[in-house]
Amino acid sequence: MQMRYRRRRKRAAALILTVTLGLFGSACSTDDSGDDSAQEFTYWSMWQEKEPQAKVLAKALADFEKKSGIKVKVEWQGRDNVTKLLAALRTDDVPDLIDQQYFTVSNAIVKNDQFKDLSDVHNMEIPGENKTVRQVIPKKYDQFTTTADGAQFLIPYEVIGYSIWYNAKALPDVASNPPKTWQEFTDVLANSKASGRNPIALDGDIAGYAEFWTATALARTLGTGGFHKLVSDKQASGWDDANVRNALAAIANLAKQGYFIPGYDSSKFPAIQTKWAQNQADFLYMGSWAPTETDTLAAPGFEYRSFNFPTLGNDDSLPASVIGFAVPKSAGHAEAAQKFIAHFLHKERLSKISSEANNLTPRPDVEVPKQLADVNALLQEKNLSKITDGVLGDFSDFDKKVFQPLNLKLMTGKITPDEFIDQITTGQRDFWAGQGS
Amino acid sequence: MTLATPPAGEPRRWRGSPRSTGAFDRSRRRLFLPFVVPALVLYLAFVIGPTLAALWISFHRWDGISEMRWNGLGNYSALFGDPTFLTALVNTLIILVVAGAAIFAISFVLTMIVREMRGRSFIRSVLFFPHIVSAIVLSIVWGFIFEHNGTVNTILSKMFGAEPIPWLNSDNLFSMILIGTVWISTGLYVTIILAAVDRIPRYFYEDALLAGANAYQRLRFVTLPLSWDVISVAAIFWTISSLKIFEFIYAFGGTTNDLPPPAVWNSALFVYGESFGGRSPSYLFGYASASAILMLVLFTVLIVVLRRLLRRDSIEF
Repeated sequence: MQMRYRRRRKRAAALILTVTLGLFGSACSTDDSGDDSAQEFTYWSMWQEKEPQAKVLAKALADFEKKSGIKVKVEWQGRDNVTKLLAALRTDDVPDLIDQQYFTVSNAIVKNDQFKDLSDVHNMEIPGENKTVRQVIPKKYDQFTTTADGAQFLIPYEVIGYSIWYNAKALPDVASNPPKTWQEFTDVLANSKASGRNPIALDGDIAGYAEFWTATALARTLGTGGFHKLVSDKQASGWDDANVRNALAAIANLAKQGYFIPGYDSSKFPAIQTKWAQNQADFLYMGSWAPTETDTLAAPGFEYRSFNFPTLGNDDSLPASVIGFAVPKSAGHAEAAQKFIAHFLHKERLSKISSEANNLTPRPDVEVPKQLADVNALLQEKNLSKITDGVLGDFSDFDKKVFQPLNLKLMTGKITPDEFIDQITTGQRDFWAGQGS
Repeated sequence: MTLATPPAGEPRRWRGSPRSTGAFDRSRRRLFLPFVVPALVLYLAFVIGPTLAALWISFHRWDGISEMRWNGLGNYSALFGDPTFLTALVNTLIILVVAGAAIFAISFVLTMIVREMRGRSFIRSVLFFPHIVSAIVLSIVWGFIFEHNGTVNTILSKMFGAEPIPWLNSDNLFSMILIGTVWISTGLYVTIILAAVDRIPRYFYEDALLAGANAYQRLRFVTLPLSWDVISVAAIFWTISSLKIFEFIYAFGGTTNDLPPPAVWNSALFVYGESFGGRSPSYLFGYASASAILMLVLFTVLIVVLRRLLRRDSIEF
């Protein structure tokens, strides 16, 4: 009796386990079988379906499907697409094409060698244009899209330039003679303050936006790559330096002089940016998305102009970033995805990123929207440098835990440049010591 | 009117006595496995399995994709030298103790007031309301209310001509998070405690009143002892929930793409911040797992201690 009961119990347990695991198995597996693999690819987009870039891409994808016969499975995932990719890389369900800012891609799949080298795409001909990809994408963007040993992990299709924005209608003197040096810039700020206006808008609750100021000031003083080098030093020995102190003092002085709009340290984004668009502050240091992000709330007749971050030494490069396509190493249909990249870079299609989504593209022959003319001129004329000198991408953990909090204290006048130097030196040494364990 | 306690040392049995061999008991025993196994499998797959995996990952350096590299206790020792983790740990404990004390103090006061009021169920619903609304929505509303040109500063300025108070700057943000947490959670605990208090027969309070007991004495000698079992469960419940608070801090202190400043992180945000969070995530899964395991251990100990401290013989009435 007892034996029978046990046996029956075992049978029941085995049955339930089998059924349960079976259900799991069928729920978790995806059916990727089928031999038409060359004729399709999957694209996980960083855009959400209603964003202008998504609309441009959707049209290009439809056109590509028609012309090539290759079917595209697109998922408009939004900015989390790379995080989701990271999880997917451990499964068989890997997308063949993704897009993101260069540092997001490099941070997620370059260091660990999970990307496909897209150097071949440079040699691909853009269908219908008799030009190769290399011929239309200038080499100045390679610093964003290649690894130290020259592998191509990204093909850019949108460019972001970071400049200081203002309303030319309200500030005609600035428009006719934009400040070039830090001294000229602070003269303009002092003038603005004396006239009873708020000189600078900053949404201080976004630590990354506050960081743009200090990081650029440091890169200006130390030269491109100087801030990056400072942070990568495990002994943190470079901070106690006259040039560094000078750059930090320049930034601290903005707070000391009361140049930031009141409430910049205690508002919720985008409150301050909106105030700037409504002429309540004069300047906003922001990426080239600033006009599109603020135009619905901008004061009537707002005329978007911008100038390069002023010099604090010899460097006058334009801080920039790029958004582009990447292909994961384990993608099953990489070839089809690469065909689409070449297809999208056709002048006619790519120019819609400019004309419909109001953003800059890497192709110099694409006409730019009027409000981006200044930043585009800088993009063509100047050398480019990475925004935050590449620190945000390469040392993200240090950046958010050590640099950004201290920077916010500096920019709200809570610590002096000397205190900043002391604290970051200790913080950086401790950080690197913790990394070595 | 007697207060009887059940004899100690005689645990209640949920199954029949082992000696009972009736047909009903046998069929009940046969049903035991089919009922337990599915839940057990799910529990193993979704709770125990991931917890063990997190424990294993916590001994490694791992970016989520590459091969894991053994790091022994390296992640744990690094955590104790990481000021951000120590801040997150302290913040978690402040939320547990300070916000917890405030929640229970306010809950008792409200319970005493609401118990004797007319329209009790309506007031109860109003108090419970913040707990129903998503913490994300509340945090956004709180952002509007307390920002520099927000509702509170506007009212203060119009009424008293006051300068705007920087409620949301780095000095005040964590205090605002504490207040927000109390505001969101209190309604739930008022409801739980009120339900327990409702069970207490009125004549205890009438008797206490006749004996000349004031409100505090009624709370001390009638309400607390007679609802102690519920209060101790609520305290455990708060301890567990406080560890998991995430979305209010995330949405109140951060923005769409950005984490709140590390000075206001609690342990849950630390785990997120070291793994997936932020514009440029850190992808330190070993490190994040180690912090999660440490907090799990700490809170397990806290809960065991708390249960011992709160243990009383239950009173039947």
